[in-house]
Amino acid sequence: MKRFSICLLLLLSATVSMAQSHGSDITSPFRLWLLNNEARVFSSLATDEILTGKVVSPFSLLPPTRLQTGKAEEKLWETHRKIYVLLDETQNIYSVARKYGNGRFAVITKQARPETWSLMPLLAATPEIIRTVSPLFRKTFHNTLLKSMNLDPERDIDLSARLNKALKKLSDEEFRLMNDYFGTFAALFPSDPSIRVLKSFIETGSRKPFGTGLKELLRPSVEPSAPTKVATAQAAEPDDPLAELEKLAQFDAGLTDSINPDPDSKADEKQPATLEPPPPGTEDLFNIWD
Amino acid sequence: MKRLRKPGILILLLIMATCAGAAEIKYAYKKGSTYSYRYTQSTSSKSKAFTVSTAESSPPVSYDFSVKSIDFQDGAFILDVGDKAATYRRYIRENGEIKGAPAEAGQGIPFFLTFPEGDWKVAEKRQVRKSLSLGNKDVMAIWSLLLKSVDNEKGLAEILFTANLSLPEDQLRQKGFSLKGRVVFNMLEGVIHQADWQTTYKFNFSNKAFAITRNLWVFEKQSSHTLAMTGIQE
Repeated sequence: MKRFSICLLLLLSATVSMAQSHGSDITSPFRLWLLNNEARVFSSLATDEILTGKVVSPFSLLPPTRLQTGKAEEKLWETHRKIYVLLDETQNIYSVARKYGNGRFAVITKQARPETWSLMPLLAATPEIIRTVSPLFRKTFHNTLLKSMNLDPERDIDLSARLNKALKKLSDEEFRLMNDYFGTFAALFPSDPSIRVLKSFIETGSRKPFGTGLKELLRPSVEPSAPTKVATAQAAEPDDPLAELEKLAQFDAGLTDSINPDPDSKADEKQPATLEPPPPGTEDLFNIWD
Repeated sequence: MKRLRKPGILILLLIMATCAGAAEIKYAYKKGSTYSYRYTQSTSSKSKAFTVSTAESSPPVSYDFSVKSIDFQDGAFILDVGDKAATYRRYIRENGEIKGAPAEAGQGIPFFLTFPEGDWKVAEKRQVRKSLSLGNKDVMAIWSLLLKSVDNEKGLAEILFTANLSLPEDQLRQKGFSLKGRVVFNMLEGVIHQADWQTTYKFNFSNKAFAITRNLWVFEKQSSHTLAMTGIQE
């Protein structure tokens, strides 16, 4: 019975993780469709070339032709390669925005404070060392964390600009072709929601900023000297890790609408618009709460 | 008797006209002779996806080659075809049919057109059929020939030819291929004097899911070929 329960649990967790990964993957169905069509056309063109090559030289006195000719379809495949690069970039941007764009992860890392906890044993003996070492610890931890998450502050600080930069690599004509493909895919597979999300994400994301909660993660507003303050005055209110964790727990539980429910807090005014859940009944692209 | 004379004369004239409008087209390479040719090819292609079109064309490219007649054995000419870079030995019958190509073993010899044996009347159509195999599929290829005219004074015969090839297609893959051309055959020398032909290929690819069909891509290719004799060395 226990074995059965474990198997069932594993199966359920696998299903949930698959569903989650599928939900964040908005480019694969379209990409596979285009790749599959390309493969079918490659096969047909190659077969036809072999067959027509058998009659294109009518006379037996003609030696095997060695003249190479240009192929217009190569330009089309080149455009497709550009589209694939754009899809990769779009998927990456979407995943980053979905994972970190709400700012929750920034709050968690803000509270991790390894420089505080790791230097705690030195607090009693040599508090002067903490003052100089802790900013370095914080900076190193932050840089390592960003690297491990494949985030680049320069690149990811403005995801909308990053998306626009990727879109500019396509010419107007190439962009129009991609939109035509999106339309065809949507018409052929109306039950597939990924193409609607992808299309809307490209259209909306290139116009208005999104994932603004990422800014706090990439360039935290906390002063490097703050840990020292925390070390000396553990109960300092705004940077109290435990207090913030409590707020976060309340927010996760749905007890509060915002991570910083205090109406007087200036930090609350700076929270990105995406932190607000969309009105009921409307599909929000940047809904990263579920 | 007078009544029979008129139709008799007409029949006689018709027979004479028919004899004058017939020719025997067959290769007659002279042993030890070298026949020089220039082959020119130009191609253009187009592809279309919705409103986006791409086009590519190549300027005419020429290639000089020669046909050296080595011998005539067992009903076939032994020829060395090619240039300084590569030469291919071929065994070719008088009607143009290839009997052997030892240097091209495993390469898949093309389906060459062959001229009909014996007298060929002007305006008479002939066909040569062959099933081309590709993997598990067999595709029928047909050469259709028409003797358009014969100039006995110059010793030249003009022949029109077309190739029909039924490319494998289905509901989503519509294809078309055509080849049309003309060859001027030197009956005195027994060799091709000049030939030109054009090929057209079109491939329309669609997508279908349930009851919805959408056109996706159209590919078109054209090629023009010219073959001209540039000299004979005895």
